[in-house]
Amino acid sequence: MKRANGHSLPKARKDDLVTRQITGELLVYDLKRHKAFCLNNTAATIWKNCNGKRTVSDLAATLSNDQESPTDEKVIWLALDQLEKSYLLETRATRPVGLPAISRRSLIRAGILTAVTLPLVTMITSPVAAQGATPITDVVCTGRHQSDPGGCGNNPCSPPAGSKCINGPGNTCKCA
Amino acid sequence: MFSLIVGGQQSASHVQRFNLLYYDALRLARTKDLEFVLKSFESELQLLVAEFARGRTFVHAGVVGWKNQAVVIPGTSFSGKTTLVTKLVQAGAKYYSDEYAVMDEYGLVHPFPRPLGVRRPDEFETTRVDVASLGGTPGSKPLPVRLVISTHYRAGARWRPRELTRGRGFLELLANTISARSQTKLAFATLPKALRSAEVLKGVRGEADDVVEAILEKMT
Repeated sequence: MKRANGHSLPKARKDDLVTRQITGELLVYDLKRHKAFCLNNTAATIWKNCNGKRTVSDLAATLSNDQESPTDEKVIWLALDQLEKSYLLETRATRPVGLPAISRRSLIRAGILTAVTLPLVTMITSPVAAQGATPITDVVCTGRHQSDPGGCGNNPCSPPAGSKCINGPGNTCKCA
Repeated sequence: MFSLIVGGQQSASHVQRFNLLYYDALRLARTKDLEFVLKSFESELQLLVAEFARGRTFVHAGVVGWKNQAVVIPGTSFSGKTTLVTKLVQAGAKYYSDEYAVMDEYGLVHPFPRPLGVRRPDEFETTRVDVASLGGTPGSKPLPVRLVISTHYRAGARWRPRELTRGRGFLELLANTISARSQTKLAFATLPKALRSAEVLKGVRGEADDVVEAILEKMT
């Protein structure tokens, strides 16, 4: 959403997501990228209120109201940065010129520690089914071809422990 | 469709043919060791069931029951699940599985008590061991989850876990869920219910005995 001054306001992505609210956290699954996220209450409140109409100041006020504690706008920027990196925003807010990169550490160092918990977005990549499979040997893996249905399969292989059957040179597969 | 072609020695010649296992056109195994091919077949079949079972979410995990509550130990192969499960069973826990935590729509864990796949040090192949030979018994009724232990073995490490929130615990389970991609909505409905009254601990472990003692202390 763009304003008259050309600045855009943050808008949460809605498509191709599965969400589930649990006590104090929001679970999100990105069906396109096969990533799963856990948003703590602060990050979830900010994300849910990103409707393309609220400014960063509005979001800070909403969060303050929700958590009954004043919120620095830098906390909102930290959340927006994490949400953007996680592809959970359809539109991101235009960053003010000169606003430095914000990290949790920089906020703590700057003494911006309010009663509001800092936003946190935790992510994992969802496994393909074969990653849960019983491992295959190197001989079985190298006997596969990338052109086979299912490709190299991505099965865990051992030895070496911790390796997977992945694409090798040309049409081959290898444990690595 | 699976295809199993059994090789063996031809009577008219000394040529020994390979045993072959295919899933559609994908070759899963090609070896003269028939036992290995059959094990691969069993494993792939289990994986297929785990991914597409209706109304059940399969998490790659070891599971034991203790006082009508379940301990779930999610993890990939070689993370030491079977070692912990074996020790817990030897300490008196009911055996549920060393491979899959099978969760229903209410978040209860069902038994999947196949013989334990014990791997000896520096060996790739597992040996199947019946739970009775360990002095244990299999569980039979579905249990609520009381404890989730996310860990892997590191020589010399001390068990000093940190407690995770339910949301982070959910990610630990989802990272080991076979149908995470194919039945996402089901996993999103089932796993939070399974964690409803569970504590989730994460950390590296050294020898299994220390962890087992800590787990049983938590469960009492």
